[in-house]
Amino acid sequence: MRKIRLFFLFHWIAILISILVLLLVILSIYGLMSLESFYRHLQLATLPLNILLGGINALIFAYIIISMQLIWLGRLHKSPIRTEKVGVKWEDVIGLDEAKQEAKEIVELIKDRQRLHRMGGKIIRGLLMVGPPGCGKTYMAKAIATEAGLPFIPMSGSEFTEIFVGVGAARVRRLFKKARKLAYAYGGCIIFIDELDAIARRRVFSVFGGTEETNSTQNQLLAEMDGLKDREENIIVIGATNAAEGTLDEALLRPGRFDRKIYINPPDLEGRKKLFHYYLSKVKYDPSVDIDLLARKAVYKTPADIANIVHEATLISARYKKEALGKRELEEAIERIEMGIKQKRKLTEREKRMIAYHEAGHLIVMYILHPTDDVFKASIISRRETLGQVYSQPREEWFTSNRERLLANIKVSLGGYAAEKIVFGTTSDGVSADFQKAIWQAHNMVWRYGMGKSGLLGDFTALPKEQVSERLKEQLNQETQEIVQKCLKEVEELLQRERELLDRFAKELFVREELDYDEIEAIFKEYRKSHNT
Amino acid sequence: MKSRLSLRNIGKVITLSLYLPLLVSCAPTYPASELSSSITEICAKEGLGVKAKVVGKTLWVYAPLSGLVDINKGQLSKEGKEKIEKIALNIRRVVLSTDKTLNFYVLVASDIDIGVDYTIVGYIKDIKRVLLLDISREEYLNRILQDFRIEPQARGDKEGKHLQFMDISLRRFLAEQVCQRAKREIKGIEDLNWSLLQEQGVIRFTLFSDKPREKEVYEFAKNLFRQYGFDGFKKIEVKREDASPGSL
Repeated sequence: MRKIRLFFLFHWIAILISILVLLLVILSIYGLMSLESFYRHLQLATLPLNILLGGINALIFAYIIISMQLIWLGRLHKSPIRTEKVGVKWEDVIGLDEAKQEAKEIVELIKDRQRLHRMGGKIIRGLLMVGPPGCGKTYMAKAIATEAGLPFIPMSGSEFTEIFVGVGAARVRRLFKKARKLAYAYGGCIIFIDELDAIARRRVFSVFGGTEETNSTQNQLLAEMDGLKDREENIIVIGATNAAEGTLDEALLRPGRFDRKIYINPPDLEGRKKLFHYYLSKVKYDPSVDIDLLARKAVYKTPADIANIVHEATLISARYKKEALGKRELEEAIERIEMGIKQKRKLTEREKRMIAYHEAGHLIVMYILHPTDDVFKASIISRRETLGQVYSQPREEWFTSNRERLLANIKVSLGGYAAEKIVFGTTSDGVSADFQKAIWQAHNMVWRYGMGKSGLLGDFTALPKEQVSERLKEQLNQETQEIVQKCLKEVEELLQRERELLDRFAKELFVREELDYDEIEAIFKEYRKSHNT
Repeated sequence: MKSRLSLRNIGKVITLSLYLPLLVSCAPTYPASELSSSITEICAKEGLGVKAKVVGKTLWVYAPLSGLVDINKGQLSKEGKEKIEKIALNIRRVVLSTDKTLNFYVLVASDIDIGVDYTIVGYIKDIKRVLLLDISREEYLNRILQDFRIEPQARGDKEGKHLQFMDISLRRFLAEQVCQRAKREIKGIEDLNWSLLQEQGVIRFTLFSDKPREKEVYEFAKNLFRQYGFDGFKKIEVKREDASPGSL
């Protein structure tokens, strides 16, 4: 019965027009029957012309209306997706166990809201999912909608923004109006807003009025979620964002609006193993593929990255006309995604030697000095914008970096410059990207992490620029430069000491152009060198 | 099959219903089998007693009336004109909305008290043409043949026994029309008759006039035949002679 009422609610205009048309048809028939046949034939003879003229009039009218509607941009062109069409179950969500557990609790609350009401509790209004891109926020939202058995309206935050003020707010109103109708018919509705930060950033009140549109949209969202009108309609808003919580408006994050927050992080080692199992199970692969090794290599990778690796490996496999994915295809896929596609460039011998020494410098410093990362590949083949690369990965996941690790990163970045200087007595502009990394690390150490020599503590980048004196800036910058210089000195000493090793790696790179993990390990063993752990 | 309440199904019903008017319009209002009786009934409803008969493709309607002619003025009375107009209108209604193939209608209104016949002969296609504004109303009225004559046998004849019912041909109709209209529209013609030389396929017009009007009559006849698209002749002749009565 509710569904029939909802049908009439949604389509009352069309139904009214249909009734009118039927009435007109009946009256036309009655009128024609009362005429004599000659006059009846006369009327019908003019019917095709009248229809044609009516059609032309309708087209002109429709053109005018559509032109007006294009100006009136507040239309919402979203159709709700029925639960059975979403079809993502808990079993399909892999590698997000903690987040999944929280989401299950929320679904239970949504399903058993009567029990909650009896206790005097209130339905949750909003759920915010925060995490880096590709971690599965949208997927999780779909799983929540499927398991809760409610209609699902997906939106993107950018769909609300237009250059005309008020259009976004109008769209928010229409969205909630539609959601209320669905909640009435189906007992609840889930609105999913992806890229929530497009409309949920901290409101800025500017005299120039450039932010009025975003503010009005956000205000409307605040009012709909928990405004003056206290409604119990079981509409749950799920928001997803990559932005840090601090960038979002506090009014949206308070209880009563986005009550719950789920942090969806990149998967850990176990999660990555499960993801590899899941994605590989969808394709034909060689059972001898070591999934544990793959999971260890894919540190910090998101589910989207892992899916991409498997997909890329499938394409490589097809190119080689193989029936199943193997270890080689997967490694090539990782290399292609991380390092990029190889490009053929014709280099002079001198330039090639310089690049070989540059990369060898990075390699040696990384291997000997870095406490956490391993070198997986060194290459002097052009990829993307670079002429050479040293590809490294941490041995395990780290969520913080201590002083030693940060200094090691700086030293690795300077390794190429130092090698060029020692060997050729000159340097090239190929060091610019390395210097960028090095100076940025050193800058953060001094300005943000309190790791400067003077012992000054604080995050000086958080202060307004005008409140940091010139003298302080100069001191901090000087300390930054000192860190860089000190690191450079250590690196130069190291490479001077290991000149033979440097020459050996440079020669190998010059000849073979690429060295993988095993080859690198073999050479270091030859010279009886080990990792710094 | 389970029917669903949906916009698509409603739309289908609406679209199908738009074809209904076409189905309704097929049947004629006055079927051929009831043609004569239809005219009689319609006129009876207006208090006019008529007799109708179909001869070939000509519909004959006989209206025996009293007081048709104003004796003092020697012309149709006002009442008589009104009755004739009503009957003519009813005839037009019926001939247009019937499935019987008809070319001509003949209305003979007789004053059965005095013994006068007023005859109108009309071409049914002309009625359609004037309704569709293909010809002007004046042209249409000019095309109707009218004859007013004293007919003693009409006295007391309520059945139309004194009439000779025949199927009018287009040739006859057009030739009479030439004679009638030429006398009105071309100056200097006293009388104009026509005859048919069947074997030669010649229509001969005999002109009674002091002035040479042969060429005008010839052109008039030729134009009229062309307007009707009539080609049932080999030649038109116009001969000027002394006056003598023509015959229908």
